Amino acid sequence: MKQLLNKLAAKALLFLLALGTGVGGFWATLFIFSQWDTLWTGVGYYSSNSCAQAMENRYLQAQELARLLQYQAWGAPLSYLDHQRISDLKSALDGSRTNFRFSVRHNDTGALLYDNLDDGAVIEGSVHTVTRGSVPVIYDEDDSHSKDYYVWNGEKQYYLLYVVLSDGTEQLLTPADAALAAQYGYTFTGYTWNYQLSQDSRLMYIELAIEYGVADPLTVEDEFWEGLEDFGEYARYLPALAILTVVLDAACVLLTLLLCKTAGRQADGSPAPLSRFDRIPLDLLLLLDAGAILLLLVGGAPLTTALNATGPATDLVVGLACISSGIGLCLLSLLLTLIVRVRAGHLWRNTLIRRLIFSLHALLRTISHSWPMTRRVIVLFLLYLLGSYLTNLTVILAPVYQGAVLWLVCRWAIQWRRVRQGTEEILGGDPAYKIDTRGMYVDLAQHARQLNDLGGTISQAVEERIRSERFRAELITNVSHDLKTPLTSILNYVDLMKKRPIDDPQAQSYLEVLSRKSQRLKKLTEDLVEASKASTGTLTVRLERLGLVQLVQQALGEFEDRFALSDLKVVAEYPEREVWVLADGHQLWRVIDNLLSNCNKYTLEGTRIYLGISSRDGQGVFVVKNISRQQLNIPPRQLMERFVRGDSSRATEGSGLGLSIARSLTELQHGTFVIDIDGDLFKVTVSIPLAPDPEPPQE
Amino acid sequence: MYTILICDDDRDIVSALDIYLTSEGYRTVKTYDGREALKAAEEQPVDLVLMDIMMPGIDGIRATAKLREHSNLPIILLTAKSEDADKVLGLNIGADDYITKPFNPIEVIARVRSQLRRYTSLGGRAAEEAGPHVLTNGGIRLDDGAKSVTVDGEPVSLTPLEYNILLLLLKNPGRVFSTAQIYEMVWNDTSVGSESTVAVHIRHLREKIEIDPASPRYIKVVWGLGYKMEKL
Repeated sequence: MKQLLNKLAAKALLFLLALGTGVGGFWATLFIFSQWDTLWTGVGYYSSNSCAQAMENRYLQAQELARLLQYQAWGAPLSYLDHQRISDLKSALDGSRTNFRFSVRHNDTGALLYDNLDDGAVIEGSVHTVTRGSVPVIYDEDDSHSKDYYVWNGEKQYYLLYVVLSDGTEQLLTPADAALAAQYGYTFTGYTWNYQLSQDSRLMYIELAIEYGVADPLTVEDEFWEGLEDFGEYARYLPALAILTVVLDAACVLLTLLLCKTAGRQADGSPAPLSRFDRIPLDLLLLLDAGAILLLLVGGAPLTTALNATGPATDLVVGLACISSGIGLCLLSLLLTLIVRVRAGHLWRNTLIRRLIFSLHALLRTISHSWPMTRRVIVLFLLYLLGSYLTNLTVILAPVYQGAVLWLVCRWAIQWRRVRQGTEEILGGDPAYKIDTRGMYVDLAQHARQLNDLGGTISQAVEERIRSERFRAELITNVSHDLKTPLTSILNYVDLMKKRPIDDPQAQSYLEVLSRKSQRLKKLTEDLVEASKASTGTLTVRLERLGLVQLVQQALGEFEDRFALSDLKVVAEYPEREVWVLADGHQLWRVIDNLLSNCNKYTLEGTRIYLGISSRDGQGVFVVKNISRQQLNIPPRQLMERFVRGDSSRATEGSGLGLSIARSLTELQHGTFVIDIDGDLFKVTVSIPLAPDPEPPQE
Repeated sequence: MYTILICDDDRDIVSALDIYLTSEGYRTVKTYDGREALKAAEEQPVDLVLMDIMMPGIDGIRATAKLREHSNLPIILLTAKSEDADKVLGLNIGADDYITKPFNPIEVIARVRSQLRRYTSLGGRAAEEAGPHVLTNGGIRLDDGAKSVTVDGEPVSLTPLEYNILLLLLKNPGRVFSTAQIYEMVWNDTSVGSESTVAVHIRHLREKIEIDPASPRYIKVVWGLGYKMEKL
């Protein structure tokens, strides 16, 4: 706590010192600069600023006197006040009253008009340095020359000159009247007129030369005398004052830098907590500071005027010190708080403007969230119309405004496209796709977020399904594997039993049942694995170009005996040319194998099985038709469901998986499998994509 | 008298196999896991191994690899897995044949006999006897001079058409013949929709020379393209 206080006290001291040196340095610098020549040139009083200033004042008096005297010489009517002025100026400029010396001559002839020199003296010897100047003096009683005017002669391509004479009459002059025009000071220059005041005979004109300077040595006690005395005094203190100024300024700069360095930081360099002053909104602070400084400047103005007029007085000096300290305080504190704010990174954040913008933004947001879209669109449209009306009043703003509106609309369109593309991605099989909602309009962003959520839900569901399918396939494979081992033993031991001598015919028939049923169990487990593999797509399919006719013929070769045994005839209809399809030979064989063994199992004895092969619509089509032995009272769809057989009693052999497997296998090869039932006619159509023609052999 | 090493973790299956094989006149050694099987194979001369794949400890695949390190005796794998990849793996590491569970005892005996014949009696002699008229592939031996065919040393009687088909296929092992080609070459006639006849004859041929005609070793069906003789 004590340390903290010390730190604070040290900072406060630093601050006060910086302020003090700043104010002192400011005034000292100001003074030094006003006396810069005195300090720097070191050539003495006659070359100093104060001497030149005093001399300038006297020169103005001399000019005025010279002009009045010239009027008097021309015999112009002078007023009473003019006469009084002449005598005042004469006495003020008299050689016994001032150290200012001057002489006035006609610039053309050099004739002396007036001087305040001692009798017989010339200006060169009487003053320290002679300065010379000229004064034009014009007397035009009725000011007629300023009423002259030109008229453009369109026909001749030059100006006609109308000269106004002293009696008020106008005279037209053309270039032909050059001699007359010259009297009035005009010369023709091709197409216009040049006027020279000194050549105009209508008025009095003369140029006076004034030579002036300050007597050296000084003879009387006037302002020059006082100036010389002051100068002597300044000259003694100025070098010390200059050094002091430099020291003060340097100290002020150093202290300020030190303050800047430590501003907003603690002794160990970590950022200090913001003070209340640093929390005042920046723009408010700037406004307050500017007001305060303006007020202080206005208040200080009369003080400086008074100081100039009367010289340093204690109360004035104290007043000015207070005012300048106030201004210094404002500036220094502003500088330090700016640094603190920059370091804390909230220069812009802590402003009233920003707060205002934010609350407006929040208000708009609230409106955009709570208002229905149609109302917002109407309001936006009305705003657009208002903007159009306002900007149409000016030529420049209209395209800028319409361009900006177009840009906003285009942005909307681009964002809308982004949303649509995202939707397509999600629908096209990438449900995990996320639409980028950054920088989108509120409504679109909301829509996009909902789509993202939807996609997430879908991808979750898809994953879930894939996982459960795979789990099911694995389960079936594993279970059937576990079934196979005991089944092997059953089959083997039933077989062994059958080989043992058993006398009891009853036992023989029981054994027969066991044998039959265990064979059926074997078939069932095998089909179960096949079906699960085919339907979950874990089978790998190698598509090749192969002949459908060839395959069917090969298959018929395999089935020939069995069909003969069931008294079935096959009527096959082949196309003239081979039908080449793109399929996996082994899997397609299993499809046909399933179909033909189905025929074998379920066809009414003594009937015919019709086979047809054809190609149409880019598909190789294989059709099997047979007459069912049992009544088919099930819809075709259900026939393909697993474990459903044509006879609901399930008396015959077969697992009921045949059609399901065949369909799954066909679909794996990108084919279609359609069952039609018409009374007892059972018809299956298998379509497989045709293979493209093979590349011609390379020669 | 051949000694057959049986190995399966299911004791009932082992004893069933034991019964079948003993009744066929083979001597058997019964083991119940891979370690035991390896040990038994070291301790006594064994002519053939019948081994399950899925066993605790050392499984059939690893035991086969181990046995193959210093012996080329025939190994038949028994497997409840019917995945193609498992079969290929088993054959690749050196098994000679495989039988999937649940198996048919007759098939097991046939395969055992086939492997033993090839290993003991035919293994070396088949090449010696190869004369100008003799074609062999695996266990098949066709003597075109004597017009006789033997499979694993057993004579097989074929019809002239079957014989000619076998001759054609044996002369071009690995080549695929479509039914039409076979018809033209064997029947010496242009085929006019008689192709399913070829398929029937080939099935009959397969039934005569294959142990399991449903999954043939020699005459393979290339579905949709034709038939070929697998080069063994």
